[in-house]
Order: sequence, then C-alpha cells, then structure tokens
Amino acid sequence: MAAATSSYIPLAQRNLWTDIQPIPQDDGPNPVVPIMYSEEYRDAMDYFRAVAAAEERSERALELTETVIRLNPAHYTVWQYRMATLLELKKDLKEELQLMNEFAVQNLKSYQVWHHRLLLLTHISPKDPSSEVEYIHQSLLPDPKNYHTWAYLHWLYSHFYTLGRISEKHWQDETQWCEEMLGMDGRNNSAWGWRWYLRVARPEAQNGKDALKHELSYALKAIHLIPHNVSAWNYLRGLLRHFKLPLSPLLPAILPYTIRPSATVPEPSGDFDFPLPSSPLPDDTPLPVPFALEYFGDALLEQNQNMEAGEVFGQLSTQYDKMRAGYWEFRRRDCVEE
Amino acid sequence: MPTFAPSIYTLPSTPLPSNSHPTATLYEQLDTESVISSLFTVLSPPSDATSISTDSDNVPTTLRKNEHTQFLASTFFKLPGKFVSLDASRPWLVFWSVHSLDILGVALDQNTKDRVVSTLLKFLSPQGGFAGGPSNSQLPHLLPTYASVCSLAITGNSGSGGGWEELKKSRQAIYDFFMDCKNPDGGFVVCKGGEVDVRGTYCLLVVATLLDIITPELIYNVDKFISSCQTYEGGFACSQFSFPSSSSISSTSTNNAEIDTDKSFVRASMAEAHGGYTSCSLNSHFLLSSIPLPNTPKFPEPIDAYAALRWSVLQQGEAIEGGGFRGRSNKLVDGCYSWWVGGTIPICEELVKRQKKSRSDSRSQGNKSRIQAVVESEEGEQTEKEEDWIDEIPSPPLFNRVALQEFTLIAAQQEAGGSGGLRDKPGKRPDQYHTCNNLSGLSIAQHQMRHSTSIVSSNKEKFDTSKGLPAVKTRSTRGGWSSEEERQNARKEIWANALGWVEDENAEMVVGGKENRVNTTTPVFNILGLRLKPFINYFYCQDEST
Repeated sequence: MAAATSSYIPLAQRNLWTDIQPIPQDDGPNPVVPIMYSEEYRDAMDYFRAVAAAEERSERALELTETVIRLNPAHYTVWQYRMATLLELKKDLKEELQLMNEFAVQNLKSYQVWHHRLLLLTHISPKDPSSEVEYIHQSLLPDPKNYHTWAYLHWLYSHFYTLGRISEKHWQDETQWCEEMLGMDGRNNSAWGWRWYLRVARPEAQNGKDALKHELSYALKAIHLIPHNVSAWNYLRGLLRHFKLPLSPLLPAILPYTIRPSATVPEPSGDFDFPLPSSPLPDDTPLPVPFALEYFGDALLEQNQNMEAGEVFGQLSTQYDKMRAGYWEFRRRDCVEE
Repeated sequence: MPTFAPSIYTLPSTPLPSNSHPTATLYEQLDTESVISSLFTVLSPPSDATSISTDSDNVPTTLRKNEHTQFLASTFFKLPGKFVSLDASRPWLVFWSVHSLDILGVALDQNTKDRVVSTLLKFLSPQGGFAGGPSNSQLPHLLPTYASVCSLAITGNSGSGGGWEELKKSRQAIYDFFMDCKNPDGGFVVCKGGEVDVRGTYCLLVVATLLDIITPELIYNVDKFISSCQTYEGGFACSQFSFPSSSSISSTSTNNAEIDTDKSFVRASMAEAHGGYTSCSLNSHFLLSSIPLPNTPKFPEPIDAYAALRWSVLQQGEAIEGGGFRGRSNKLVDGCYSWWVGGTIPICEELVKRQKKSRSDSRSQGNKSRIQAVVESEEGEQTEKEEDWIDEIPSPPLFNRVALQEFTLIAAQQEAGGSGGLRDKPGKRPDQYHTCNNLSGLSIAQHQMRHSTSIVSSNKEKFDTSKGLPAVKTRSTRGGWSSEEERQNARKEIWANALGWVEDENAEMVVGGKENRVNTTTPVFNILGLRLKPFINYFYCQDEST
C-alpha cells in the first residue's frame, strides 16, 4: 500500500550495495515501544548494521551514516561510526564542518550535532579559532539562549586557550561581543553566564581591585537599568560571594529599591563610589523589589543584626514574595534561631 | 497560622514588571504569562477548600488519570514513524511510561511486564551497559543504562526471565563499561566517543549504587567534577572544563572558588545554571556523600547547598505563570522542571540541614557533649536517635507545593477530553517525557520526603555483611577498596542511605481532593520506594524483611 506511492529505491536494488547482506534489527518477539520506521530508515539501518559489523570504513559507509543521521540526528551510534570513518579515511574535515553548518540550523537541540562539531574542531585544530567563533556568534543571533551553543562556546575558548591560541585581543573582542549581546537583551542569562566566564572564571581573568570594582559597577548599572532583572542580581551576588566581599558597602545602591511603608531609606553619603539608581526610577518598577529586600536582609545578617534580618525575610514571606513564603520563612527562622 | 504554600488563586496576578525596558526575554515572558493566566481564569480552582460551589459548571480540576493512562497506553505497543527521532532513546520511552503509570497507580499485567523485560534485555550489550535500542544496532550509553535499569526495577523480578538475574550476571561488564567511560578529571563520556556531562555522571552513579559496583577508582575525582559545575548563581551547569595546571595558569587566581584543591586541574563551569543539570549534579553529590572513602576525609568535595536551594526556589514561577518551575533564570516555566527543579528541593533541604548541623557542631565543639536524644523504650532497649532533634523541628515547605500542583492540574494537563498526557505548557503537545516529569514533580509536591538519620542508622544495624555478590574486578590493582572491611563498610553505608528516604505522612498535601493523590516517588532515584527496596536488596543480598 505504502510502497505503491513511495519513490524510494531500496538499497538492495542499487549496484553499490549488492555485495552486502543486510542485518535486521534484533528486537525479539513482541517488543514494547516499537517504532513504525519508514522504509528508507529501516533499509539504511539494516545496511548500517552489516557495515558496522564488518567494520567497513568506506565512502559508501559515510553516505549511509549521513542518510541515517538526516532521518534521526540523535543516533549517537551512527555519529560515532561516522567520526571514526572520517578519521580512518583521512577525509577533509573542513568539508565535514561545512556539512555540519547546514545540519546545525535544523538540529540546534541535538547533543550529537554539537559534539561532532567539537570533535571536528579538535582534529582540524585551526591556528586561530576566529572563524569558528564568528560562526557561533552568528548562530546565536536567531536563538540567543541555545544551551548547547553557549556550552560549545565555553568549550571553544577553553580548549584553544589551553593550546595557547587565544590572544589578549580575542578575549577583549569576545568581552565586547558579550556586552553587545547584553545590550540587546539584558535579561539574557546565557550571556551573563558567558560574561562570568570571561571576567571571572577563566584562567588569567583579571581579578585585581580595579577589575573587580569595574565588574561590580557593571552589575549595578544593569540593575539600575532593569531593576527586576534576576540575572543582574544573581551576577552581583555571585561576585560578592565568589570574592568573599561584604554586601553592606553597596547598600546605598540597593536601598532605594527596598522602599516600603515600614521603613525609610537613608540618603547615600557623598563618598559612595558606585553607580546609584536612576532618579526617578524607571516606569513600571513597583517597590520594593524582592531581590533588593533579600540583599538587604543578607547585609543585615552579615552585620549580626539577626532580628532585623529576620524581620526583612518575614516581610518577604508574608507580603512581598508570597510565592516563596515557605522559603523566606525558613530564612527568617534561620536568622532568629541562631 | 499563615500558609507557607499559598494557592495561585490567593496571590496577585501581576506580570513581570517591564521597568520600561522591554527586550526579547520580556516579550516571551509576557506571552507565556498570558497563555497560562487565561487558563487559570477559565478553569476553577482545584482546591476543594476554596470552591464549595454548587454551580455545576464550577467543577474542580481533577488529575485526569484515565486520560493519561490512555495516552501512555496509546504509544506503548506501537509508535508512529515520526518517533524515529527517539529511536536511540527507546529505554527512555519505556521508563517514562512505566514510571508514570507507577505514579498514577496503574498496574501492568504480567504479560506486559514480561514484554518490557525481554525488550530491555535486547538492549543490554555484551560489552556491558544498555544501548538506546537493540544491542545489535546501537552502542551502550550511560543514559539508556539508567532508564533500562530503573525500568527493570519497576517491571522485572528475581525469577527466571525476570531480568534481575541477567543484570546480576552483567555487573562486571557494566562496571567495565563504566570504567571505559571514565576521564581522569572525573567526568564520564556518555558513550564511546561521546560527550561529557553530568547527565552521564548521574545515570552512572544511580546504577552503580543499585547494583553494588561502586569502587574508589570509579568515583575518583567525580566529586570534584560535580562541585565545579556549580555556577555563581547556585545552580549547576552541564559540564566543566579542566584546565591542565601549568605555569601560565596557576599564579593569578588564588582566591578563585572554581580552583580545585587537587592541584592537577583548574576547573571552570561550562555554561549557565540549568534545572536538568542541577538535578543530575545535586543527586550525584548526594549519592557520593553516602560513600565512606577512608583516605579522603574531605570527600565529597563540598558544594554550596544554600546557594543551590536559593537558586532552586527562585525558579518557581509567579502566580501569573501558574507557579510552575522554569529551568534557567529569565527563561519560561515548563512542566518538565517540576521534577528537575522541584524534585531536587528535598535534596537541597537535606544538604542544607547537614551543613547547618556541621556548623552548629563545630560551634559547640569542646563546649559540651553533642546533643543526643536517647530514647528508652519500655522494653529497656536503647536506641540512639542522634540528630533526630533536627528531624523533629517541622520546617516550612521550602517551595510552594500547592502552586506547583495547581500548575500541573491546570496548565500542564492536556485539555479534558483530548488525547490525555501532560505537557511543557499550554499550546505545546503532550509527550511521554513531559508526562513523566510533570507527574514525578507532582508526587514530590504532594508528599513530603526527607532523608532520615534514624532510619539510616537502623538500616546500618540491620545490614548483613556476610551476604553479598562478589566484588567487581577493578581496572587498576589499587583501584578497589583497600580491605574487605572497608568494602563492607562502604556497602553498608551506600545501601543504608539509599533506603533512608521516608515520607512525613502528616505533611501530605493533595490539591483538589483525595482522588488527585498519586504515589510517592523516591528523591534521587525517581522510582517508587516499593520498587527501590526489593531491587536494591536483591543486589546487596539483603532480606526482603529489612
């Protein structure tokens, strides 16, 4: 019935494959979760099994793997076989990379496509990875939070750094690109994560006093631009925790976001040297901002003002972030039970 | 008494403030808020307490168990061709289905169970480990190995053809496969030539725990790999990169938290924090924490449990997005994170509790004796219940268990009278993966699970070290336990901790009435306790009665 409408020519009828005895899938009798494969997929897999069993490394084996991968890009076994075959046949891996450029567009969420790319870059091992970086930047434009792509970018810089092929200019350009991404969407948490790598986590990241102050200011400016942006708050808190810095010195930049009927906010003193909130605050910025209250509570706690801190967490629990009432109550008890 | 888990219907339905700075993230967020909140206004509250309405239209939302069962059954024996994209994940199709049915309380007939077992055994590779499909087609892979082993725990048995015996015979081969996957920095490739990430670590550790094949060489550096995946946000990334320690790297960053105490690597996390990877990482860390490694007192490498807890609870969406969990900061809520994030909160809670205790212990050190409650029973036997003083203090629920159930019932269920199944969010098609993860998260929201020190202690007393399967042959001559005593102690701890989860029955919280109640899944493993126990006992050769 289906065969009548199908234009598919089985491999058995093609000259290239006449010497191969296909091996069917061994599912056993009455399997569960059987898939009603298309004729093309079943046929390709039957021949793949035969080719793989004979460990045949050939052009036709490569073609076969491409057929399967196009039908099922998550077929890790076939990907593995393809890579091993490419290497054994000493194929031009740049050509393969071209093919992957086409693949990635349709299969951005496939683990295997990205891993194959990683292996290709490892083997091609360009002197300068700039063109690969450029490709990754381009592919993030339509899909700016693709997890695989960002993880790959982390790997790319890390790997080529260990080979000594990332120059200071590379790092600077990358930081600038990352800032452009954050300029387009300051809420893109993936880009924030990338900034963390560039500015803090990578080996030889600048973490002297000036660099750190620059970073804290960057985070504060981002908060002032979008006060309800969890990404900016987490970045700021991450910096302070990572470098074991106290929260209190930055309070003048935070307290304006904690305004509520129960408390007044002191004026910042003249020598405060970090960015302050815009005045007036951006429209549609209801106060208090829960992240700011949390920050305030933690700052009080670090000054051993446990009761006051507990009160702030209590307010989060009962009034300002009731979705997390239980968590804030836990924080409150943690303060007052000490 | 204030409620620490308020219903969506009692909370203000306010959108994420724009701060008059709209970006792509904000637009996507607002779209999702509108799609979900419109459902909440159409459908009545599932909470029976608030809706004592006589209006016949106002039917409380129920968990449509029959529809979901039908949905799972419709694909279990035959899948249309488009499922070819999951042809290398068939053990997962099995696991998502059989575990979902287990949570729903639907029993499989013996014939179907037998078919599951014989299908899965076809996936078991002679080289050890399970493949994503028949082993004559596919290579063994860590992820299908977890899915297959857990599915066998659910559907198999110790009798002939029940699958457990075959697993028992494969322990050495599975161990060898695991060692083949191991990298020196503590990561594991998911399969030959495959990628390295914490999904593989998690799947491997669950299986190694269940089959009693953990050795020092298998877990060497794994704790460091996991802890360096923790990001500045508190959640965990997919992987980490180990920079070989060289002169160019070492000097500049001595106060860098990502730096390993093991001087051979400088490690950095490889992306932003993510719910799925956070679940895998925290569960892995938790499993490692029960293994006594005599020569490594600081094992496992610590993680920041408070930061992990904070990150996790912050992923719970606001009322306007139904109280579901998102998987990353500033991304959209999705029902699959009910398990990935919600399901990990009991782990965070336990780890925070331990961190707190070690803090208070070190404070009171030298001061007085440790706090111990000695409970004397009538019969005169004494049971030390160390640390139960902490167990006893009722803590507030750390995430909004009511809201998550409302999200599941209202936003994640496919519309009544449709195909059944659960989904990412309204407008998305239901599938087996989302059905399983939504239901697993729902189970965590309904049932308060905690890891009990006293149960672990009594498990340890019950453990019979004279019984067990042969120790696996290690890869390196010094890779095993240094003495039989050490090995037995490790087996005891691992087994006792795996069975240390207990439900606080008084804290059960079922939204929408009793008929919505689902079975209790076990944190870390994600199978029911009644599946876990006989299965792990089989491999540790402990009596059914324990």
